[in-house]
Amino acid sequence: MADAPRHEITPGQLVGFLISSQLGLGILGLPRYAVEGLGHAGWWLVLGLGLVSLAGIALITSLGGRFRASIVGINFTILGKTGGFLANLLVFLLFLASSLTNLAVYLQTMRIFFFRETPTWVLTAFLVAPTFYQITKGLKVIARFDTFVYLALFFLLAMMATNVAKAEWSFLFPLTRFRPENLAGLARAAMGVAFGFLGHELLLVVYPWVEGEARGPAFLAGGVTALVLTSFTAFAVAFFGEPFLSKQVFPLLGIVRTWQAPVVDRLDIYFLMFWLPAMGAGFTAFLAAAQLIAAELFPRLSYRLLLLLISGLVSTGALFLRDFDTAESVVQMIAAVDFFGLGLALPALLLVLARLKGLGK
Amino acid sequence: MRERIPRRRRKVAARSPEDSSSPELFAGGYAAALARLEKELRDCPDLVRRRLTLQGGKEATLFFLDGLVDRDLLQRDLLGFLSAAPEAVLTDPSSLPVAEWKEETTLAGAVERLFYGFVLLVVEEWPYALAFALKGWKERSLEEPQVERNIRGAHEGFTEDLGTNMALLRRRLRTPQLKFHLVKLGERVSSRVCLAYLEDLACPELLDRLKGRLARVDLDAVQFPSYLEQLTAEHPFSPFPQYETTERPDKAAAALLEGRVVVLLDGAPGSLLIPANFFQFFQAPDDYNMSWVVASTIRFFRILAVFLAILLPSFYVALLTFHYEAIPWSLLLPLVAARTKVPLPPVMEAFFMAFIIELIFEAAVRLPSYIGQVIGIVGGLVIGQAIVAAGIVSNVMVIIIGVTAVANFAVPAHEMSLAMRFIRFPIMLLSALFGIVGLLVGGSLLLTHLLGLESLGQPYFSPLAPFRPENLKDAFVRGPLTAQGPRPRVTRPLDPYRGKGRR
Amino acid sequence: MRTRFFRLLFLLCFSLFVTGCWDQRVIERMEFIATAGVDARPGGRILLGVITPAVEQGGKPKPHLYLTEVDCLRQGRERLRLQSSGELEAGKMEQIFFGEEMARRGIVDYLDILARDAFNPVQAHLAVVKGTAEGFLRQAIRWQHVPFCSLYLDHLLDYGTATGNIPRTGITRFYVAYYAPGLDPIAPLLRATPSRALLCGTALFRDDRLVGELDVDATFLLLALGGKARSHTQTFLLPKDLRKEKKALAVRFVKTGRKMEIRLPSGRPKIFFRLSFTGMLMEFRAGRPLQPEELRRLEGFIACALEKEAKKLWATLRALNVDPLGIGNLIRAYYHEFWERHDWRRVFPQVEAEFRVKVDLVNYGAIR
Repeated sequence: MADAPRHEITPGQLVGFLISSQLGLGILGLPRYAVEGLGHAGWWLVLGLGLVSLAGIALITSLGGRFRASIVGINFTILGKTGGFLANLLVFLLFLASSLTNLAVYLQTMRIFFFRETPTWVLTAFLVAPTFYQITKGLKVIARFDTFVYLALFFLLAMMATNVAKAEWSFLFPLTRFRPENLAGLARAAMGVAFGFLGHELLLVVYPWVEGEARGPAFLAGGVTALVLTSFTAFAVAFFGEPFLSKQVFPLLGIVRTWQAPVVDRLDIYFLMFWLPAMGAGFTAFLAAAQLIAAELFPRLSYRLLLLLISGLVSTGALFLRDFDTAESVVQMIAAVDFFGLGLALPALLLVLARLKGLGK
Repeated sequence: MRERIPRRRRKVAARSPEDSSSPELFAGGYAAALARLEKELRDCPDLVRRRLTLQGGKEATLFFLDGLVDRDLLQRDLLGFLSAAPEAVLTDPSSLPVAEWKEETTLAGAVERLFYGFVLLVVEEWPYALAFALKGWKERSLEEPQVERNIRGAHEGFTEDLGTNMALLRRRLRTPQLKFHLVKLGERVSSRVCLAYLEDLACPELLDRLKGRLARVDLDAVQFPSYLEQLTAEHPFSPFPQYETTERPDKAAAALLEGRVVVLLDGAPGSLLIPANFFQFFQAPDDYNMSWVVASTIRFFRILAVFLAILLPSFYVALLTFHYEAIPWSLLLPLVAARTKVPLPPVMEAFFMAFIIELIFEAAVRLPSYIGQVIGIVGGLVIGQAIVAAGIVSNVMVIIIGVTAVANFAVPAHEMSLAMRFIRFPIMLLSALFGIVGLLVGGSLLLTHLLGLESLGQPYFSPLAPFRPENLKDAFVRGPLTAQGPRPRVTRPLDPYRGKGRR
Repeated sequence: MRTRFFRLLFLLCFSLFVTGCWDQRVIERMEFIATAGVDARPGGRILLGVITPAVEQGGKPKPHLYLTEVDCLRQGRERLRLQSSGELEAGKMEQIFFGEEMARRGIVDYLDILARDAFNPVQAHLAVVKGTAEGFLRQAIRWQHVPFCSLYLDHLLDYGTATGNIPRTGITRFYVAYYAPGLDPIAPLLRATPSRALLCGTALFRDDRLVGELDVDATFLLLALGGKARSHTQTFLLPKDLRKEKKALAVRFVKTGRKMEIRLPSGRPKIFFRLSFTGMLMEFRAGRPLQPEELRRLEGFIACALEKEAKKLWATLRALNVDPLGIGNLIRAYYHEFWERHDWRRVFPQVEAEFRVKVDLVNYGAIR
């Protein structure tokens, strides 16, 4: 049909896609996790994880370049039929879990911001609708839509720039004094920050659909995200100071609430207007990835039927994470597994195996 | 890609012209031929038969349809000649005093010629009939179309006659590269459809795609070009127009120069410009007749008008219903004061007012101009003012809806403004239910829909998505003519640069 | 089967309308808190007062005062909702005032609700009023010749901030200063008269308790020392030797530069402030046309006067043991070992400061 989903994207669209799936939800609480881990020098943690994310991108692009297929095909090639299927199922479940937890956090955040009395199932159906529609149209349309993330990014940068006078840069000093309470605290903080960076592992699924060179754009996207997140964390520390920052659930919102303009008094609603699509984009990206994997694993089933099943599953699951804290802790666990596992360990492992077995070009 | 063409397989009850009892007109001689013609066109009082006798004694009959033929020419030039010329001359057609003639041997062909203003000459013992082109029907003058006015620039418009329209295009583009591909569509009544294109610019693949889709059209008769749009476009459920229509030959000529295909239909003045993209609907030919700085500003206002038309009432309803914090104090108190009188919640007020405005629009279109002006006064002053005074709607809402309505019509393309009128309502509903988030979700759905739309397989939202920076010069701003080098890539023209090409 | 499905769908959609839309806050059904005031009451309770505009059609909004005694602010709002004509909402609150006694008790707990609710205004002005907040609000609603009192107060506070008479503080800023180690919050101070409000200067807090105050000129100096000075007009009384025909002169400071250096000679912090003021002579009655040397002498005199004021200010801060300039924070940032080893609250009263002030009068207007 003319509406059949089309998944080819250009390298430029890839950049927008990756950036919008990484920025959005994670950035809301990111500075808080960073300072909980390392104190006021928490931005080092963010920078560190940014570098890890770039390393992950390097691994994934070389894996993809070696095989010119998506993770599904690569798993089958390297691990054989059963091994590959199990690995693919694991990947699929992880993406599913990611989209579920993403949706849960998105929902709970919406509840805190706007909707206190609306029943959650109504809110879920309502927030999932645009995602569903986008995925039926295919990755191409999703990537086109994601180009509007640059607008949201512009607003973020504008907000930081105009609020620079309120920032006290001495809050960031001493620069290298870290305050790790204990390793467990640091690990928890790393998980929270990983949630902020979550998204580069989508490259595993999206790689073969890129028409053209994907390596450069992927690095660009990863670099931009790392830069934005690190500078935002540093800015948040300078704005709030470390103790008050740890009290903020959504530091980004905290800053936005103080943003003023001459006639309109409060700019927070307008900022959120531009930021909300970016928030939804993360959830869309993960659900789309799960859908693409499922479509490749089960080619006999209709695309729409698969999508209905998957979104139904994800929506119902998200309803079980009833409050913000639960949603947050679960999403961090899943994010850590995704970020380090899917985004780093799995491609590394597969590359090693491929080298050993002499597979791929 | 499966094409969405509705299939209607009617069991054939009526005859189509091809199904004559005998394809050959003259099987059985002169009398039989006359009888066949009479039978085919019985109960057609506009058929005129003129018997005459040729030099040499042969009987001949002229057939023509009254109203389709130029009687003056017939009486003055042809009749006399036919009566006086020897038969030998008549059989040597090069000496006939007509500019165009055709030979017909089939009944269907002969009858069709009659419908196109030809005069049919059937002569005893001739195995064929001669058809002389003497068309002379009444045509509307080349007046500027009502909905597409320009301040400067040409004031011609297409008419209902295909030949005239083709000539109008030919006059603007005097090049042998301008080709016309004629197609006959319609099961019951054949309508002539003409595809105009510049051979060295239009992408052959797109042209073939279009021809293929047209071939699958299954209708009794094609009355309006928009029938073709509705039957061949990829997304018939979308409110957004996927082909552009215009009645202006200058706009059609500009489209041809961009590599688009222009579809003309015999009997309707509208033409289709294919493929279309979203930003095209906000361009007016006037933009190119003025300085590019001024034109860009005006185009910017148009884009703003789009946002206002679609989003303003919803935004207002969302703020009033959910987000009072975003309203500055200086507006808040007067708003509350105005709204305390009004019994309806903001969303119902908005719907009610929008509904009244839509009624006024519809009434204004149907009424003759002298009553139509009264409706304007009645609608504007009396209804608007009285409604506020009675306290049914607040004055701010009247302003909002009024601005929205005006913004709607700032868009040059009528079908796009219709789409915008429609889209406004679901988004208003969403914003009433969920506030600004509702507006955003509605906007996301709308944007997703637009991003996925395609016109003849080409992306609708180009040059924003896919991003083509070289084509942005004509989307939001009207770039200077020196920068108008690259043609829109969406049409996939064979020659991507205007003028001498890229330097 | 198909019709049944559509019927169900229709009912579902319709029910969305019938049950009402859940989180709506329609403006005509609300009453907006424009100003709030909090006073201390015995037993750890507080008195909450709010001013809301009562909107009449075609008239000026009239201020309406509600008062209630409660344990916490949210309870206060709920109690007041029992008597208000619309749902009381604080999303548009412009100012929150704390009475003196309340401020001495400690205010940070009562800011909690404003920060916790995602759409409450954190950029509302936060100020301390002399006397009780109740008294202030009662006078405010009787002011006749001002636009609606909350808007008037808003303009007043904004203007006061722009002219350096009072500091700019919102709830977020207060919190940041409160939570940051080595930095104490400050807030504007005002009082009410029967016809107007009067800006008095700055309220100094130690942690979140009011401990002292500064007048408007000292406020300007404090802001200058913090590097955040605004344009400010100040009057100086001339000493006898300079006084020929005129007793006072007025200068408008348009630009203020500050260089601050913290040194730790012999293990004790010492701050070196170098301030440079650029000003314009606004009012000075000199008989003869002003000569350049005289201008220099005036500059010198002003600089001396400012230095004296600065020393006095520093002495006040040390005596009250408040650190609104954030010296402690800077020590923490750049001399971390010192910070770790000492308790700043003990050290600060002994910190010395040296001031060097330079004044530059760039012009004296249209006449000499």
